[in-house]
Amino acid sequence: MRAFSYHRAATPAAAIAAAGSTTAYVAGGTTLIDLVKLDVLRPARLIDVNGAGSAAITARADGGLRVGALVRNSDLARHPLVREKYPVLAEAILSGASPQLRNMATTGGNLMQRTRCTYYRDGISPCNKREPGSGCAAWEGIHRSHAVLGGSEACIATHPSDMCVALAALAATISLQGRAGRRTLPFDAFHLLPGATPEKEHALLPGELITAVTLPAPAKGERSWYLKLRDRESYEFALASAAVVLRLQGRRIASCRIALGGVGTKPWRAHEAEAVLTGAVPAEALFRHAAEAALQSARPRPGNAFKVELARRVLVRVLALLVEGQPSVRQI
Amino acid sequence: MKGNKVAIKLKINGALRRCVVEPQAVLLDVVREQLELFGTKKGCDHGQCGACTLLVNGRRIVSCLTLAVMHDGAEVTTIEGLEQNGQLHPVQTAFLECDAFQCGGCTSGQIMSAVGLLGEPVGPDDNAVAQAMSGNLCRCGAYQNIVAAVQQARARRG
Amino acid sequence: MSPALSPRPPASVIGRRVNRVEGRAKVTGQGRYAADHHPAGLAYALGVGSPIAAGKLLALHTAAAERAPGVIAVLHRGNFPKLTPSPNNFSDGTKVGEVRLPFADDTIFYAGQWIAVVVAESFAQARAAARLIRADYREDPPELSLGTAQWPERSQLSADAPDLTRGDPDRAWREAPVKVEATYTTPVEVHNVLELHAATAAWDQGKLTVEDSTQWVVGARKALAKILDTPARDITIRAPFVGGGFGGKLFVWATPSSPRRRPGNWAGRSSWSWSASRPLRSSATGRPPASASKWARGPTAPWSCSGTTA
Repeated sequence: MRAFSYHRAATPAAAIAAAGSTTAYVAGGTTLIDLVKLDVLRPARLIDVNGAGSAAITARADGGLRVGALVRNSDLARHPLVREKYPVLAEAILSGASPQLRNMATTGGNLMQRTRCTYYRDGISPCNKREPGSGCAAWEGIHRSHAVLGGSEACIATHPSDMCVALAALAATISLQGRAGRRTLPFDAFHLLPGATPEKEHALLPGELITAVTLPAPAKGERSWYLKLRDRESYEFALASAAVVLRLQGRRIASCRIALGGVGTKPWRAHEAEAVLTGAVPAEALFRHAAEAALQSARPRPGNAFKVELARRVLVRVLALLVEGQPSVRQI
Repeated sequence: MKGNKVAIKLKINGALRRCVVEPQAVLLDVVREQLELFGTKKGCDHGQCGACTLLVNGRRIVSCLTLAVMHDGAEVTTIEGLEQNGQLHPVQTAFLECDAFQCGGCTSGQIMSAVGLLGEPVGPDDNAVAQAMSGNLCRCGAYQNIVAAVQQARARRG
Repeated sequence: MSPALSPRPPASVIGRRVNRVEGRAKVTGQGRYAADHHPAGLAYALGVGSPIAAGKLLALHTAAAERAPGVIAVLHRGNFPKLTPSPNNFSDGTKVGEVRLPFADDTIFYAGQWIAVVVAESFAQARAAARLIRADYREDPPELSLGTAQWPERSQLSADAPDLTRGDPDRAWREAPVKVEATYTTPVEVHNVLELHAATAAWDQGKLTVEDSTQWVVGARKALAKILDTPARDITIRAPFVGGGFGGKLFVWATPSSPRRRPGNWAGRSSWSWSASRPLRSSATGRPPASASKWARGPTAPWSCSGTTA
């Protein structure tokens, strides 16, 4: 790795004060250190925020849950309130990465996870995300794991996080602290579409620090689930995944929120599918109709066209499972 | 960039060690090169194989994706720290008895990962153990015996 | 002549479950693999690989790397000592994985080919300095397919002359009433062993000891003796623990041999450690190459085979 200087911040304010155009925050380090070793990211200074923020999971008076940015992924997935009230989140976290990585990675860091696109990571291929204007090697290259939703000719890199897909479906809120003070963002506004500027991945202002993620109170009778399809049964990124939060009332689906993973350039909230399902009577044909609506805007490349149908099917599967009952979170 | 080094303290296998390290020195490299504890292995250097697994404050992590400076004051346990007074750790004994290794390249990481697993709420069945050990690759394919060894260690621990 | 077999096998071992004799060393982390040594004055060598697969190295800019903290030397074509190519003969034990010596010329033959080696006091310093090296290349279209490779003569299987000849295969083939001829291919296999290729070498008063990750200690010794122009009796290769080979660590590869050279006047170090990084390992060191072989068989003719590898 190139040499850099290191500063440990004692508070969020101190971290923000130390931040500049050539600095990077480090918490778990599982993405940052990996990419600095590959020379893809080249911060001149690392600001260690492990002591600068909250690692607490706090129940809110309104029934929601506030998750400090420094809560480790494994702790979040194992918290009794998370497993009970937000099984989609626990299951999503536990289906991602490895136990060691989950012990290191933080909530805030997971939001900042970078794409696994091999061209981005090789440090040398044309990559508009890494070097704006250099081109996109994946477009005509090997793009089997790339996105079918939200891409552009400038970039089709998939967002790799499982946790983020669950948070999108939960309509979480992200708390930020920066030079101008504190603010919150709805989850869906945090990650940006690549468009013509794939190097801009997040709606963060310079120096801004993630301080917490807040989950809304689950509705009474709400169920949720996450299913991840991939080449191997463990320790592999999603080819297609679906997170569904569903509430039935009588015979009908009273409400639902859906997000797709492995197929989008950002965690993909499937509003079109939600519109089809809300108020409708659950049935296989309905699920299929919703899945088609979700993937209607898909623009695959030749090498990843299989993902379109795969994503439809994983969504149908999760809907069918949830209508039967609430599956149990894996215990690993 | 002279004078960039940082003095840190690490409690390694119960003993306090002082090191002077560059900020970019990775914990794995410091453990091996400066502390000369070679039991922890470098298999990929990118957190993908698990051979570098050790415990920091009792938790299993991959030491190749973290910096030594980030762990100033932490308790680090490596494979060399498991044996106590000539007595092997139950996981080490289980690995021996179940023949849970071949070339040994992944073994330190597997054992440290299993020790970490003992402190985690993993389900009782072999499939849960396999998933909970999925961060450790074994090119020789000793997985079946590794799962058996972990189950044996869990059972004996009670 | 095989030795006479004992009429009764030793009762202490046969039929009993015995733990691996090296088991305790492996489960306690005491087993020393090639990179697990720290002789006095050890320096670390890190190879810098070409990002292009074919072409020419036009210029190398190493000044910034040479000035970086902890750097002892940056080796490259301009200052690397001249080594002797191995005769590359299996029966002599001098077969090597790559005949071309490191830095032998400016041609780039494969992605990952070493264009420089940074030698530093620590791995972190070597890696930081490696990032400061700049290189200019002329990039040529790489040869990616065996289909365009050259086929050797039908009867030529290897550089070695056959030890045994029997019959007349060419005539049998000509006269065969029915001929079956087909081409079979195998892809490149990368072993992905857990222990990266590595070596720790130490010179002591003209004698070289190498802790090596190798499946063939005798071959490594004989090949290095030729390459380093040093008597084999002055070279010791040790490999008490090898973290997987699967065929990928049979032969000395050009990249591992470079740090073993006796240091000249540019470095007073006598001991070196080197180990591959995972992406470098799969291109610059051992793996069975892709192969294509044509097999021909007539009803009475023996098999004949000619093949090419890449």
